[in-house]
Amino acid sequence: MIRVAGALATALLVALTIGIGVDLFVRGAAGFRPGYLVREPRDLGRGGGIGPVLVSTGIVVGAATLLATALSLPAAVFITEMRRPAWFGRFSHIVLNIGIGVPRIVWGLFGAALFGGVLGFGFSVATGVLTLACLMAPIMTAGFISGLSAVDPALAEQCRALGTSRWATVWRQIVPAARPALTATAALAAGRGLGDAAALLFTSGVAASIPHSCFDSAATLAVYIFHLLTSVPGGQQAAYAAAALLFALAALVQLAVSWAQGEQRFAG
Amino acid sequence: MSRSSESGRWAALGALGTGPLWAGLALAAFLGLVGGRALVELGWSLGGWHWAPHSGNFGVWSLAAGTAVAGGLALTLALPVGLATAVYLALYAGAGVRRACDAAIGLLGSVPSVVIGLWGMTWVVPLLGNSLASAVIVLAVMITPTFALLAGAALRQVPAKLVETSRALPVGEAAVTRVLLARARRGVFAAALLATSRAVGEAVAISMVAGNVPNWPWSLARPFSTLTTTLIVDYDGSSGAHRQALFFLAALTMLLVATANLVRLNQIREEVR
Repeated sequence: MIRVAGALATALLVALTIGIGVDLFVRGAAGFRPGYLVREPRDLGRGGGIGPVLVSTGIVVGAATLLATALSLPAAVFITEMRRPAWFGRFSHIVLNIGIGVPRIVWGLFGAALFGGVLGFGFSVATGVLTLACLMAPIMTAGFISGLSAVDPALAEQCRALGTSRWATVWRQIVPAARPALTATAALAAGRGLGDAAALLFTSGVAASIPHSCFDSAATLAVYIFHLLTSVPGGQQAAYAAAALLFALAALVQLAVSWAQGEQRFAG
Repeated sequence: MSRSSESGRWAALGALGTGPLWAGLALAAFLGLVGGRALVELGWSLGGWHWAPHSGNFGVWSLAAGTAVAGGLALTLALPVGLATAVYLALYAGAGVRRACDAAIGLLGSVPSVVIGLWGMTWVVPLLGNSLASAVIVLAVMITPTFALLAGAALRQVPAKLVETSRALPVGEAAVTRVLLARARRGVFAAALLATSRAVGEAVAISMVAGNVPNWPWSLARPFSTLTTTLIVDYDGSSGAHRQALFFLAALTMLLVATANLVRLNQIREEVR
């Protein structure tokens, strides 16, 4: 009974995954004209390609991932190594976990008001990257912390016995030992950025052209699809092709994440 | 390396390394500030029955009800399906099937919300219209995979000895499942709370199928709005009191999500102890 119900539920989810993917590619196929990946959009995106959007996606998501990593790795090391005061560990645990749960649209409004408004960056790559880095940082820091804490404590003890300084122990031994988990976390956060529309809609904006400076607006793929669907009459056909592409990219990222992670059935 | 330069490095790391914490605190301060200011300046207007910003009515109740009803109904769909999936994959599926299904469900969970929204526009809206029913289905598709995977992870924390022992007894599969769920209930509950916080916070996909009319959510067939869809639809053209009211909505959403997450953390902590 339970077995049958469970198999049906599982089959439903798997069928949905396959159905959504296949449907997107079938409907999007008409949009994949030669040069689709490199040409400029025409007619508000109803025709032409999406070259500039791909470039913008790479710039915004790439820069935000780098910035978030540069903030989160030191944070994770600091929080794992700082055992005292005890309240600091608990406090950062709570702040990070609430930070992970902050809805994207709330980060978007925060970024638009602070970076776009108070700092005066407006709709721009800079605003988008800063906002997206804020969204990614708690995810990354929490993931990095669990990656670093999973390293065998014997490694640190052996280093201490050899007289290695704490700094060298962390950066030359523990961080490299945790690299697979750290890479998986960074890929996961990059995937969140890739799929994000709500946080970037009001920050990096909807311009479908290659940004010439970090103060130009630049739409990422997800924002561009949302814009096609909500603000461009007759944009739905073109959205299928772009959505199929985004689905494929998200699947690649997901593949990279699960490849980097191990698995386990029931605890010993 | 001298001791002093080493401690200098740690101090620099500490200064840099609290960045993500500051981002979280800045967000909390920002929402407290703008939400509080909206509360002071708009006052009782926020407690009204209707959300009609152009006539100065900023009643949040119909929107909050939209979030609660859509989230609640989506959870009633997502929890049984997700739990059945997690139990099946933990107890019955062979290793190869389990790995393939985990990958497929993980993929579904990682599909960007704008893509799920497009799927909803293509398949669900033609059947059910821009309505509460469409939003519930789209939302359920978004939160079920996450819940199934996290509940599955909680089930896998159960000691193998316990599972094998109960399976060896002639008690039937219902009893084995009950033992498994009883042992993993905190983890499963935590997964459900995470799904809840995702349901409350999701904006893009719902806004594409909900119709975005600030109706009370009492009919499955009518268009409606939630707190987050109102943010995404109204923000760009808003100013003055309207924008302040939107910031209040954002603060309210955050309050709901933070509550769910604090309860979840509490669950996990007690389990560890």
